[in-house]
Amino acid sequence: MGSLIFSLATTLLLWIGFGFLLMSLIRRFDLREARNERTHTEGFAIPFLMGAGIGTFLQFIFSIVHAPLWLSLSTMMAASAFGWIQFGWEECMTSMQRSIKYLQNNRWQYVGWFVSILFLIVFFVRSTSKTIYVWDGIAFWMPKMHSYWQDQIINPRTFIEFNHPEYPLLLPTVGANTFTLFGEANEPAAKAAIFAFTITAVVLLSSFIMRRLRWYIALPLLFSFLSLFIFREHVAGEYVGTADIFVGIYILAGTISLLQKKPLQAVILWCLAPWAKSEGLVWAGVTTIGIFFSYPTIRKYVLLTAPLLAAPWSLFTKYMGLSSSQYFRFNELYARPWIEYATYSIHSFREEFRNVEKWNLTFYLFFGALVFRIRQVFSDKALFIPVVAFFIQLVSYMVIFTITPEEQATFIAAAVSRLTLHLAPAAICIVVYMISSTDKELVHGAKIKKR
Amino acid sequence: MNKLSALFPLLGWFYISLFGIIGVYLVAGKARVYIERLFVIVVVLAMSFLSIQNVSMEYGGYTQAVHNMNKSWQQKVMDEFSGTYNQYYKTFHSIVPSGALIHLYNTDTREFLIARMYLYPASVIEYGFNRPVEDGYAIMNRGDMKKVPGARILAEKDGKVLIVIGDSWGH
Repeated sequence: MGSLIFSLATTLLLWIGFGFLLMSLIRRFDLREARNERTHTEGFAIPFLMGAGIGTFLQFIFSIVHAPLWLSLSTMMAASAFGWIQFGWEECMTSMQRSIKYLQNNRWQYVGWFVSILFLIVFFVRSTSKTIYVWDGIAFWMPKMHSYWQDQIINPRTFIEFNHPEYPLLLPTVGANTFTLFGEANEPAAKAAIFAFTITAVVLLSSFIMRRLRWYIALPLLFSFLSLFIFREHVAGEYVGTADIFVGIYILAGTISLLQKKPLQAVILWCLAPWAKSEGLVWAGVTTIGIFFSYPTIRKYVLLTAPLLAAPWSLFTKYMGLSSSQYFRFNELYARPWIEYATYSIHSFREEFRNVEKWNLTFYLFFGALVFRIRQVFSDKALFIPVVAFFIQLVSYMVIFTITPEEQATFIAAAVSRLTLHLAPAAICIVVYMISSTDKELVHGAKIKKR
Repeated sequence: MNKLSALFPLLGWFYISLFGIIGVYLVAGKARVYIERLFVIVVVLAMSFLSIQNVSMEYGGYTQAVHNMNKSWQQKVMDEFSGTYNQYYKTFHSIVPSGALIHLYNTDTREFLIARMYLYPASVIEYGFNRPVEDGYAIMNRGDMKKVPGARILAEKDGKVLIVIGDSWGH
């Protein structure tokens, strides 16, 4: 138990400190991103995600030049310590003061946070009572943790040994860092480290819901969303061992950032989604283009950030010949006309969205709210961009299901839930944002104003 | 009419009710605000009810998890991978030379994946007795050793043996 807590605490402290350092650099650009919306969640959740994403990415870069993992990890620890000393204390104090003041004016939120913490404890116990055992975990994520830890550098030969050599390295690096810290392949400790992402996701979602909605909607919705299968099984349950939920978490964080009027922060978080898993690339591309055209004042930063984060791994895999070409064999013969494969793909998602046992009524609420607020979607660019990205990402999955030469029914059965995992967190916060607009209209009797 | 009736099982209550509500909303005019409010309240109530059901189903899993929580990490790994962890990681891993090719006989895919992970930096390949290895390393059940004449045992654990055939040992 002690080793699990130690692993979790070390991961949180390491990447939050590094995240503070990164965010202080972003603020130097004087983008006038709304500071008044900074909440206690941004006290650590956003810095953690940013720190973990960019930090592990930098470790990959160091590995290319043969700097061993223990050295890059030590460097990150030193940078994190600097981040804590220089910025962390002030950030924590500011966030805590704001949080206490806010909670004093909204006492019902104590109930919400109690529910969230209770869920987190249950999830932690469920998660760390078993090691990683799911198929994807033992086929490619965990082997890469082992190989990266043993080799201490990125060895392209290694990836070819395992399934999906082209998949990026956020999850394996977090695991390999844990092995390096412990000096042994302590798999449950790696799982505990990964749980840090769960904590940030729950905190982000809880804070967003409770800040935007009245208590009689916020509390039941919070309870409903935290009890979804994505949390019960994929993030927090025994099942964890796939990287799909990390794509969902980065998409969630970016969407919340944009809805809080922080477009550059959103771009950075969205561009880290492909670092968790390749499927994040479509979302990152669409949203980057959307932000580039919608926010002219930050265009130069978008042009700098997006390629810096997205390009190196893509170039590395192309250079090393690690490909995902098995999904794109256009010249393969099909047993039936392609339109039948396309129809089957559409029906698979139709069925998935109405799977109430997995998703509750999340997508029912999402599609209903989307139609009711369609004018708001088209008038509010912060809402328009993630909604468009949602549907383009969905269509891209249907296209993959249509063209992949793998046996379609088996492939869809194995993949459709995991792919919907990428979309569900964003759908949740889009729904909350739209519902909260409805709520304000009813309270104030005002028409929707253009943002 | 037949095509229309086929839509019901295809769409189910989920999409049919959604389309119905959206249809009412579009023609409602000034009452739209109240339809939205009613929709949100009813759906949130329904979600809460379903959530309570979902969460209550998890109770059994949670009590079992509490029981497993305080086991050591090696015990947790062995609980999941049973003998394969002791065999491949604790026994064979330190013996196989780095970069060696290990032929794995008579295993299912899951065991192959576990062996591949735990034997790294050696490589692993699935093999069959119809083409026995003449020179190299192999892992098989002890009882199958008679099918591979000339093999020498390097290590053994729980009925699984790491063998070498030919002159590979020491190279």
